[in-house]
Amino acid sequence: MDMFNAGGPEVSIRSLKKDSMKFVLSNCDLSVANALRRVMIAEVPTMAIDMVEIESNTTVLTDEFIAHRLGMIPLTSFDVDRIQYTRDCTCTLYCPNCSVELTLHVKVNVDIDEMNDATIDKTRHVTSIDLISSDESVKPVTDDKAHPILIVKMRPGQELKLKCIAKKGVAKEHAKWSPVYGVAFEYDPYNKLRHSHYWIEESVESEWFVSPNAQEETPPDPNEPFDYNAKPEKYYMELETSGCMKPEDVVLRAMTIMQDKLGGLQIKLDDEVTGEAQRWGY
Amino acid sequence: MADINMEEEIDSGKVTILPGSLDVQNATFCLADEDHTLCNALRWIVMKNPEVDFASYSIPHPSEARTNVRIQTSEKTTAVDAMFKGLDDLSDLCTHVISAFQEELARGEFEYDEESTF
Repeated sequence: MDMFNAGGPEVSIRSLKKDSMKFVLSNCDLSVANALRRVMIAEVPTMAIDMVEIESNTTVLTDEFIAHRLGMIPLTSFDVDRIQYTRDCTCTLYCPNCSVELTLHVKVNVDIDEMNDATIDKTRHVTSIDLISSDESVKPVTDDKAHPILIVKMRPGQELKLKCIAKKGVAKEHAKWSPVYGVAFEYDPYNKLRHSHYWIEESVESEWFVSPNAQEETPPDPNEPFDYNAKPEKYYMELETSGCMKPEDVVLRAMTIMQDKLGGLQIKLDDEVTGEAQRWGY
Repeated sequence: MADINMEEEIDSGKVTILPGSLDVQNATFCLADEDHTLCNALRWIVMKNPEVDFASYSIPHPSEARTNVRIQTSEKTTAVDAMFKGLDDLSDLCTHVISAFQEELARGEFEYDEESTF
């Protein structure tokens, strides 16, 4: 029944960059590789702005529009373990144990001389670097100082003043908490297992290109009969983070979260079994 | 009635054994707050146990956050024990992946670039 080597799953890292990594997971079942993919996308906690208190907004964008844009800004979450979920916290709304406060205050003054000079660009770009965090470890991701994330454009005389509350959360609740922008997941590049059905006009070979991952696999022999017992073995994974944490940390955290879920289930099942035994008098 | 419903709402992440089984070899476990992420891998690892005759899972309704896992075993074990073994084995497998990943990171035999983004 077991087609895999006794050694268990194997990992081979292909490249590691600041915000992305490529690796190959092999010798394990598709369900395990898919579990890792799903946990990385939806269950690794990060920090994101969840509440916005707007004091003054005379910009062209509405309050809720700006609040939504603020929520989407990735915040550095290297230290997310230190922060509690608000639902587990003893406080009523939010406190320093379960949240981080960020403030933004931009006012564009009217300068009469400048106003009359058409050559000067009077548009003020309010970006993620204008957000001032109360916590050094949780602040907007600003790797690229030249292109910070634009929130709103302002003209002279306009003002934006607000307070943001960033909370810990998971992407199951809202995609803004996802640590990854994308997880590429591929197996069987030659489609030997026929898990994919390509839409074609004449032939698959001329109309569909083979992925670069195919270099690691043996090309199919056209005379070989279809092996209906074959199972996928190598999973080519590539992930790209929002910059909120290191890509290798996302993978390791994801696996730890899987373990926590299993540990929790063991305890809950134990409760259920002992409870059941008491009820029936075993 | 209102009290019972309240309790169900609060009880998250709970495991219940659904009624209807006549012996200890067969059981359906209802896992609250779990989905394909965990249950598909769990189903696979439970099925790897040679004493397990049948293991499968289903999500009865997409808007309810619960999954049913069905396990039927041979006379040599019980469904609950097979479930415990499955949870244990999958946890061990996760430990193995973590250590394999960390070893590979420590070995450093890959293209490494801390500065460039992609």
